[in-house]
Amino acid sequence: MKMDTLKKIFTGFKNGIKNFGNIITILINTVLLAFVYFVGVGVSSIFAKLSRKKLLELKLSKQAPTYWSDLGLKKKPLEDYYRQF
Amino acid sequence: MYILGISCFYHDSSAALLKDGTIVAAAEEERFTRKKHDTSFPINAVKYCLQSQNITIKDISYIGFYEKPFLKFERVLSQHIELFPYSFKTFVSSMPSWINEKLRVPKIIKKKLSYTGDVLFIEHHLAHAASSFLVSPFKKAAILTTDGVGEWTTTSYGLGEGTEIHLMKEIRFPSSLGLLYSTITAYLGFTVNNSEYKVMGLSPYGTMDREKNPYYQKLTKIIDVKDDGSYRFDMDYFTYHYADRMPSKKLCRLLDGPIRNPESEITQRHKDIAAALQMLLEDTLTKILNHVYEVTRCPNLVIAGGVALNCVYNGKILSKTKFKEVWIQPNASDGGTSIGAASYIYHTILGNPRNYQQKTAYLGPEFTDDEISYFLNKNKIKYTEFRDEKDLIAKTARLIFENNVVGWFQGRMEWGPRALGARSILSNPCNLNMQEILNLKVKHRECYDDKTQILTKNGWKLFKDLTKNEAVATLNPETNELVYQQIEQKTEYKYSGKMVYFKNKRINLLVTPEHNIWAKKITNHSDSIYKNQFEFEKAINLVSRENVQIKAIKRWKGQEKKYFLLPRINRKKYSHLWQLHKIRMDIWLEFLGYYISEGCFCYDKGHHNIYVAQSLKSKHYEKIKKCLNKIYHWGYNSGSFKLSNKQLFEYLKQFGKAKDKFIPQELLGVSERQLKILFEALMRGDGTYRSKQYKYTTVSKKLADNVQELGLKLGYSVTTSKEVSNNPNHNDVYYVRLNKGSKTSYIRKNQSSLIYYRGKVYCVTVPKYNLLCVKRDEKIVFSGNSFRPFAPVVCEDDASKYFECDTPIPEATDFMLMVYPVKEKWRAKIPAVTHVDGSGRLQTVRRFQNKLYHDVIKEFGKLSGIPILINTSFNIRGEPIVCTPYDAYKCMMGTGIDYLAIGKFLVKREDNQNDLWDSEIYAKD
Ligand SMILES: [Fe+2]
Repeated sequence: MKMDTLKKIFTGFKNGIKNFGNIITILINTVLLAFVYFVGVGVSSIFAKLSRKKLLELKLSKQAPTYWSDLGLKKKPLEDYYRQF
Repeated sequence: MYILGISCFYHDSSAALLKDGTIVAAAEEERFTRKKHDTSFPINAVKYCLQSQNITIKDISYIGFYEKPFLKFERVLSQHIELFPYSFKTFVSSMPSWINEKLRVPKIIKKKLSYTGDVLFIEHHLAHAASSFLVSPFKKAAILTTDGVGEWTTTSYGLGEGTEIHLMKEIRFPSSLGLLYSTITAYLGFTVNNSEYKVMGLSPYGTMDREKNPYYQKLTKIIDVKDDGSYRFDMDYFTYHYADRMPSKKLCRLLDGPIRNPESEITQRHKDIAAALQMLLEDTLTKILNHVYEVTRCPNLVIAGGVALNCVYNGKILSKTKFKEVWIQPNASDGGTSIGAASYIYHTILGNPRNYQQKTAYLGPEFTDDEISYFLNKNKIKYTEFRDEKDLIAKTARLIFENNVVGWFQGRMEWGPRALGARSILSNPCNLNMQEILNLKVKHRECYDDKTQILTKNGWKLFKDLTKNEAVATLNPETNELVYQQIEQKTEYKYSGKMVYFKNKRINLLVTPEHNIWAKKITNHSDSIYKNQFEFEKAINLVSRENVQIKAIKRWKGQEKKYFLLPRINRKKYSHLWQLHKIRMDIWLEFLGYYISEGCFCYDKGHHNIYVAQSLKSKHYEKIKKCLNKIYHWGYNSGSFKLSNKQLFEYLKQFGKAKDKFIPQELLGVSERQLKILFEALMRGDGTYRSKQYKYTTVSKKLADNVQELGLKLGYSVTTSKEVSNNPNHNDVYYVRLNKGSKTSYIRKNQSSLIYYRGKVYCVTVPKYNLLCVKRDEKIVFSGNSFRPFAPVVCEDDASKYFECDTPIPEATDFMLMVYPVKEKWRAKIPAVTHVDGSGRLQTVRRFQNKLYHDVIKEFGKLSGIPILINTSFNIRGEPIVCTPYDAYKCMMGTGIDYLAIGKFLVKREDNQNDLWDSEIYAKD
């Protein structure tokens, strides 16, 4: 009986620590990612807007003759496929 | 040479193994992990592929990955930069998975598989194109790929010839037909990446006339399609490029309303939107295909990508375009790209000639009769053995003909999302009721235990006491209104095994594991698309998770009644009495409220006395006095009003003593305004009002029931507790608590559990919004169920007799990728598989593909005159299709499948009422 209660307390404690750890990880991640987002992505975004570079086409362009763009995907040398880009 | 293809971390992860250009094994990870649409690294699928060939990872020459991760990451970053700062939330939720896995693919492959060889990365749409073209019957073919999004591409076309593929043009993210379909799927209240087929299935119910359907014109505002089929979106209508896949407010305005609450009533507007979307998709695809034909001038077409699963359109391709033949990869969405990546390496990159055509989808695990009998014996499962194949075919066909639902587990598991006769559930399409039987028996085992009560027009009832025509209370989730609906069908069956038990102060519910709970999750899961919506969630998935449940309803539309007719008494004997007859209902309800709470009757020497207790000092004294004035003359004596009237006495007598009190059911049907009068009068009596909560105390069980119903109808959230009296001479006391504050209640992690149950379970179906109002141990909740359509299978040589299909029938029909009209004269004969527009999503089967399956269908034809079966996937709803004998047996025992034809054995459900959910004893071998 006593053993059981001890065990319960112990696992409860362990789970508590684990949950606490998870929460901390999420917190740190969020803080770091927020920093990266507002500094890294934010600055890039300002530069992109200043240089009027459009990264995504968000609007229709009724006068354009076509929306097809060249892809030209064909067989490439073997080395190219080792690359992740 | 062995080449392994892998697809993962996005939709359905999968693995495929190529041996000298032949696909020898392929499977999706979900079948092994039993997690639907599992996106994790397909370690189990890879293991299976290797085992099937008795090889190890060292024998693999190349691994092909289905996309270029860095290119995709570039696109994702571009989205964040372009849409800064709106994309913050998705940035935080999605970046960890990029950092941990998506950008570390070579490392993960090396680590998980101990693989040291070469890993090649194939562009996503190229992998799609290869998955279709390189295993197609064509030497040369035009290629179209359309999906949600790959790296940047969302639609591409090109030409395949021999082993070469040339993708010429593309449409780039964010414009994407796949994502448009998903957005409208979300708008219509279905789950994205899962229920797109439901939108397709809904479309024929809408107006399929471009002029008359108002939403067709509206949708053309958000997309500009050129004559060459190229298209672009006005992204103001979408949010998927910076948030989750929800429609934007502008889209909601365009479509005249908010996002549909899942499982709320599907109105004509929703059907019209689905129809408009389908028409828009078809028009765009037709334009694209005509353009592709002009460019390639090739009569053959292969298509791939998620949009290729739109079988309604697939069935129209050959009649609407100039293409003469079409082939589609059975696993056309992302799962199939593992085949594409591997084939592209072998044929295109390494230049090996093509020597293989994919003629079947049977590429998954298979189990020998020895393995199956070992499993059956070990678990003491009762079964019989078929004498030979002929016996198997004859007996199975007869069982189906006799309206049994048969689980069919034969040979290698299917590749792709459809069950095609290896892991299928077969049944009789000629039976008018089969659709309902299947829905109830197989797909919707959503039942309550025998202590659960359901609110009916006649008050609370145990399920077992429900009559056939009973009207039960349901919740319209759109308006939060209580609506009575007549039940369509009631089922009950014996169950023994695990049930899910939710228990806390406000909720007490014991349901089967597949039961749908109307719930809202609170825990933030980054992969969850709907965080703030109520939706149906399987009970088993809610165990040990935090969530909320809906509780209260908003409005009750009853009938305003002007008068209450008090029954007259025997005129002869009491002719001298002036009889009360028509009493204003408002007055009567108020009076009854006081009487039920505070009143009693007493016959005293010829006097028929009625008392309503209320002290002079009470703040309600004046109110009660005023009310009684309008009823009858009264006197006041020692803390009680006294009325002497035989007629009133006779009527009120029925309410008996305190513990027998109740509210007549017909009075609970009056309007909300009038119910409120009754409610307030009751509360002035035995109620208290403190901190925004009413508490009503009574010793009558029946009255507690009535007050609950009354409260629900007035929009209160109701909970009841019972104080059991230790003294047998005293009654139990019920406390009904009602408040308007919280409409929902929480279940915490430790308040749900799996418990063992043996006994009868019950459920009912109603025509719409299957949200039933049930209670157990006086705790009231709403919970419910929902439905889906079925598909026919027919032998290829019989298909054109029953269906209006293209000739020759495209091979893609073998993979259930085409929808064709059922011929007019047969529609009434096979109603369970005929869609509202007269079409059917059929599977054709050729004998060389699956001999047993083919022959069972033919044999059934001999018995019934129609060689067609209903083929539905062998799974419990919400779970992946079964893979192993264990999965199959578990599925059979957890549903109403009557027989299981597994290998050369036949298992009858009734012979095996074991404790199924104690699954440890059936652990996998
Ligand atoms: Fe894709």
